[in-house]
Amino acid sequence: MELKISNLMDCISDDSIELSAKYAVSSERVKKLTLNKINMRERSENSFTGKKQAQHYYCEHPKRTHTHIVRRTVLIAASLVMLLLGSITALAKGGVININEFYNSIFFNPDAKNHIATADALSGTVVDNGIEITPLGAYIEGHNAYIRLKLRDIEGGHLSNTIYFLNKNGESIPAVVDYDSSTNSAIAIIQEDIATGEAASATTSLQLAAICTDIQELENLSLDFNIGAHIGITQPVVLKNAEFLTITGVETQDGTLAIHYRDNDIAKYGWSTGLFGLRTPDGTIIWETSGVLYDTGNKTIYFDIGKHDINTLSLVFSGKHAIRTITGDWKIAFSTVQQIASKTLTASYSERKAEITCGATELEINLSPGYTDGDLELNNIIKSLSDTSEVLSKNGEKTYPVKDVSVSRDISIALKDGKIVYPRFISASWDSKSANFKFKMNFVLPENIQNVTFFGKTFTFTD
Amino acid sequence: MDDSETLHAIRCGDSNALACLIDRYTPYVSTIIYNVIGSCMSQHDIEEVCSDVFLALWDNIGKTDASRLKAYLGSIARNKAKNKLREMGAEVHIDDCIILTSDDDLESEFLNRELADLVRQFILSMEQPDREIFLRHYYYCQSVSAIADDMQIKVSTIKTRLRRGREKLRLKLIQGGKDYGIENLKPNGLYI
Repeated sequence: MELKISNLMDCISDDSIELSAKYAVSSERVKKLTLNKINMRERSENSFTGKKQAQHYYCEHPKRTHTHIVRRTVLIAASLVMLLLGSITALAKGGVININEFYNSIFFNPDAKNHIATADALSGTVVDNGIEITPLGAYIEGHNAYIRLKLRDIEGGHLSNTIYFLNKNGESIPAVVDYDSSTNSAIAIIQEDIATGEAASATTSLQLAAICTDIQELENLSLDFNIGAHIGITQPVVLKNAEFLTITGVETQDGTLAIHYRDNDIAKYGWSTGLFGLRTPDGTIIWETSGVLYDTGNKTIYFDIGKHDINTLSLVFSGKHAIRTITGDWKIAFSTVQQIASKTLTASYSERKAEITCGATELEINLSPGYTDGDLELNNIIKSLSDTSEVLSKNGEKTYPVKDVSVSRDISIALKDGKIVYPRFISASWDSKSANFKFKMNFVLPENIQNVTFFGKTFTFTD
Repeated sequence: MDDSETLHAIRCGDSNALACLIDRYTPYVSTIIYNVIGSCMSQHDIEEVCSDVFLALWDNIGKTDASRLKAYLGSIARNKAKNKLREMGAEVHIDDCIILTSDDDLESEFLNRELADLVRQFILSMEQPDREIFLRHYYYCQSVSAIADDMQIKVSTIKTRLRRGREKLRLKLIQGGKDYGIENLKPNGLYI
């Protein structure tokens, strides 16, 4: 039994050291990944247990943080919620999801026939980057649109257990994926959060990209490349079973083996990470561990071969075939639409008249009239919501940028079914006559709102 | 919102509060993951591990104390990154010496707990800057040159202090091990 220091340190808990963040990844991307995992998991649980969505389902998703508030007066606005991580197969194994039940409930429910967009309304098959995508159907339930897609590797390869769907802006879309082993294809149901428009029928262009990861993992792939036989080669060698790799030179010096290679096809084949190794006659593999394969161009890997006989060594490769991006553009017709009307209520707020307008994706609280810059109560509220630097617009209206807080516990929406929703604060603006506070939230039907509480003051719809 | 308020909001099921927390701690978490994993993995993979860290926080939010949040996240990040490395068949890239060997099964729960106690005692007994150097290298898996950069200390000094730290830890484990009835700890013959 051997004790390594870093393993001994597993028991330590420390927060005393300030690490310089020289390598920091995008927090936006991490947020999306994390929240989508959570949302997907809970959505899946709720879909199949009949439970209502958890409170945070309604909360603003990070993907929306860069999206301006747009009142949806057009037909269908697709705004994205989350992405799938982990296949439905895995979830099914965990007893979380019964995919067949899900499919049946969504696509084969007789009561829902009127809501199903026919396959004719969908565009045809798209092939991109070696993956064929066929839209199979679409369905609208409430304000969610479900689109069923079939994905297949045209070369017969097994698709990844993890497929991400993105919209044209690169934002992730929630999805559940199942695999049909008989056809080696994946069936995905992606979900769009929609707000409907004024027309009785609508067509929207849905542009999708899918990223398949972990499509294939190889373990110790023998490259049939005997090192000794290729010392000093002058002609590039393309390796069988590894056409992504071209060996351009092999040389040894002082016990170090250098293998020069060109991986200009790596990007095409999508190997994201990989390790090269040397297999000795007894099967032991000496790994070279820096085989990150993103970049194209000429590279060299070095091995310390020590006392090994160069003529007995062969090259092996292990890697992860990943990140194949596929795109498509489908016209999807939804046969049912419902107009969302904003709703306004009035209530007394500290002896001021207040209006709250609930739209499909935003909540606006307008305190008017009578606001002046000298109103201490409102000033305090505004300060608590805004950054300190104010922006003065041309017409004299003061607009404060969004503060780096995602949610305020002081503004809540009580729904008629008893749930509480916390909208995301977006901006505040005011002049001498009124003060506007804007919040953004995932879709909530205005008629489902019982009341709105704003810093201790409750506004209730009276109609 | 401070950490305490944010954790409270997360406990209430508020994913936006979690998003806040992710904004706040992603640089810290991703730096630890990168230190452990090095260049073996793509940025995409590192983001994946980062999200797993915050997912673990979400799942264990009831057990998380705001005053220890940073340490908790650091610990999860380190463990997740090491697990990812193991999946890849790789090891941490620092000079991770085998400090001792033993004939006993040191993975047994009892011995593990006793050894952990000894290591904690040792770390607490170290003086600065030795303690920080040791933690940076063996806990946060920072390279010697990165430590030298961050702490503005010569590389040779860092190496010397690490070597002294290893020696002291080895002695502590051998002597302390006897107190705990762990008799078979012996210096690794190859270890210098």
